[in-house]
Amino acid sequence: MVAISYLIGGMVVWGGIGWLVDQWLGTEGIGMGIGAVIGGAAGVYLVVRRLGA
Amino acid sequence: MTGQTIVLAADVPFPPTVEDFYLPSIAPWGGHDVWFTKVTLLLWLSVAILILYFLLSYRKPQLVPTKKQWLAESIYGFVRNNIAVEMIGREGVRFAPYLTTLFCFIFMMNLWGIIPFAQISPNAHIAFPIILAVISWVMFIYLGFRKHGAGYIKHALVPPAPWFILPILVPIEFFSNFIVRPFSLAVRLFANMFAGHMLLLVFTLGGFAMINANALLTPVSILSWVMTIALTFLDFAVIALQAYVFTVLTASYIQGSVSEEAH
Repeated sequence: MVAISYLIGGMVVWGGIGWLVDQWLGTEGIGMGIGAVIGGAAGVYLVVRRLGA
Repeated sequence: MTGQTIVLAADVPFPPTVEDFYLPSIAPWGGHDVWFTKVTLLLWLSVAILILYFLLSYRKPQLVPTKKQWLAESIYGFVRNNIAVEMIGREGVRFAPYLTTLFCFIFMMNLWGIIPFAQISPNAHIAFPIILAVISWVMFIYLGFRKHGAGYIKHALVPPAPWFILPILVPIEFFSNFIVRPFSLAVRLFANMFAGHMLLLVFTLGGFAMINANALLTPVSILSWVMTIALTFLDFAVIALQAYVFTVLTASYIQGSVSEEAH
């Protein structure tokens, strides 16, 4: 549960922020893509910190 | 025409829709616009049954418990030892009464889904799980602030990590701790109860639909009704499991709020 909520949460939060940046700069999906990747990575990092070694 | 053929010939609406969850009023004087429906009645019944049962079984407690008293004590003991103390630790005992109430209430509310003539769980309406989830949500936030003061914000949001990635991690922590938690609590319980009711409807009504369409399909219809019985047993497992899961997750959120170390 915790792991899933971090993984999805990471992508949703930073993908969402990236989408806002897209709206602001007029780029189409670049910000959201970068955001989702960063969010996914951060989610993995959090899961490892919380649950792993 | 025998009663059976009348039932079989009846025009059964298929497939079932979400409309089937909005029951008509059972107050004799109203149609759809009087709020007193079966769901309301089942809610009141659940509360009344639980109050009465625990009052009666704990009235005049015996050293050697009677059957009723033994069951009530077993339920409380189960939640206290296997959920409260297991998840929260020694100080979890003070949350055991709330967790037991929560567990019994959800279980009773879910159980209506498979009790004949009730046949729908109030929890199949998302309003009920939402209220329960909001109670858990307010509770773990309140307990966190009472335990840590303003430091709870840091306790809940700042994970153990180097400072330069914190700006990326803190929004994720906020999202997953304060937004996803109540949402997933409510949706999980609601969706399980909704799906259970829907499945039973599909298999029961589907049997009628097939037998009406073509008499040659009678064996398939019977298979469909047998499946309904099997799914009722499956639904009982889901009912007990979801009551347990909701309680365990609430306990685990409380644990996260009252624990000393950054979790």
